[in-house]
Amino acid sequence: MASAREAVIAGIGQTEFSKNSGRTTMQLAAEASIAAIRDARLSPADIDGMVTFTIDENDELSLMRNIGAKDLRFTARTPGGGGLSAATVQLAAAAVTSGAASAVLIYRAFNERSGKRFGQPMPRSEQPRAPIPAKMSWVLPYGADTPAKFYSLWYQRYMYAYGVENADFGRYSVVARKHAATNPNAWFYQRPITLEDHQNSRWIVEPVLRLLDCCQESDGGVAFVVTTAERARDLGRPLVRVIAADQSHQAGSDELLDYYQGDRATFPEADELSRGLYGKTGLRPADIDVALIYENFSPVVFMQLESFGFCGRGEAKDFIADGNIELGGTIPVNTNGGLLGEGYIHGLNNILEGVRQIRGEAPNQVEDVENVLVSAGRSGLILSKG
Amino acid sequence: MNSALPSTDSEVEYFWKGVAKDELLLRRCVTCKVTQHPAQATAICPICHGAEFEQFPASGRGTVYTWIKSVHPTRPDDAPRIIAVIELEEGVRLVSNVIDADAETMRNDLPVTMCFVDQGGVKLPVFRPVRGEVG
Repeated sequence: MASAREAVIAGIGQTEFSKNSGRTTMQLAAEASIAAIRDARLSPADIDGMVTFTIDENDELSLMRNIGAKDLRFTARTPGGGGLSAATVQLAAAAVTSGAASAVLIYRAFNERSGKRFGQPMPRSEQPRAPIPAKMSWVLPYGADTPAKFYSLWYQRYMYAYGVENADFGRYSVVARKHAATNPNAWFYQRPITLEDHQNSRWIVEPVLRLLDCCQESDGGVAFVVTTAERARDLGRPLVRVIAADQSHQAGSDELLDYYQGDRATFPEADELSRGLYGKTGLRPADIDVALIYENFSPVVFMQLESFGFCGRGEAKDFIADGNIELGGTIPVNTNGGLLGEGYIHGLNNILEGVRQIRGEAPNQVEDVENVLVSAGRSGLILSKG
Repeated sequence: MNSALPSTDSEVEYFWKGVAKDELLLRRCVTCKVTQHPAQATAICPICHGAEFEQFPASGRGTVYTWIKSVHPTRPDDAPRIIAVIELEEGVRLVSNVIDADAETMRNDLPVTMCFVDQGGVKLPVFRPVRGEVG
């Protein structure tokens, strides 16, 4: 039973996930926000807090004007990129439980495929002229110039430590695409793949990533309304309780270039996140009914499955091959198709799926869902049915 | 081969001045002697909170911690490169290239030694397999 001041996600909203939205990111943010506010049965004037990513280009006051919000009392932005996507909910939850705000709008919108693509290197003709941030100066001169390369320098140590091959990662991609194939909201709806398709896709970074290990680049917007359980009850909305939300930052770490210390065959932030989320709730891995795991690239699912205790260290490849993460398996993972199969709205679409699973309205609905884990590796939450 | 230029930020200037003199300079706290990776340089020592650092040349010996083959699928490098994280024997790691090696012969823990190359007019410290080791 949720206490009166406990934070809940009362409304969810999104635009379509596409490769070319044909409209501004502000319009995407506004459309998703209005949908979330309506879903919560609130009006824009009820919104008194806003949370987004630091790198979101849509500022709070502009969004206020666009949607017709009147009086904002709380704003906050998360550090980093997708790894901190679940921190948006932590900030919003902290605001409503403390009373700093009563209804917080979380939003993220971008044209990440038709506009500036995360996955492409800076055009080579521009590189020598551009000022290079100090941390990039240790990798760019050596040709490490895309997220696929940055992250593969980490994942390769995991492969080496546990005898994992690219085909093992392919078995995850096949599951993600299988789930996407029956989700009408997914970019890859009705387009499943086989392991052979995966192995025939071109190398992006040898010997780690093929094309079908990489997340989508998408255009779109996602928004949520976070309020208290008491308010959501009054609004007649189903209670999707935020029973724990946490971030994990370890000294010396970096979200993008994490090479310089520690055992890189593991994901220490996800280990600590796991400790925090299970510790705060008293739940164990067996209590989780669905896991939504951020995956810019397939290998990071393997490390998070291990961090959250769904299987032992180095066992993710067998755990996945044995069908555990599929619908009907012991712990269905990324039931929406994940960021590989559904779309890449910087991880927030996995939180949408978590809410839908709790409400019982997901396209690939798992039966009797009580607890959903959303992990972005460096931030995460557990949602529970109220 | 195209290369992005190293940063000219003052906090890392010492490193590139060292490269100009064929040295790979590392930095350590004068009090507690803890060596820092240049990419992790701090304003004060995180252990004793002193603000005095000294530089010293690394031996240039290390091993391959991780590696990838760098070939952009749609916009290829002039020549494919091996990018690696090198574990220096001083205990810090550095991202660099391994030359005289390819994807077929690269392996983790391969002993390597530093040398300097000119890439597109920029002098860079890179590594090659130690003589007798296949890389």
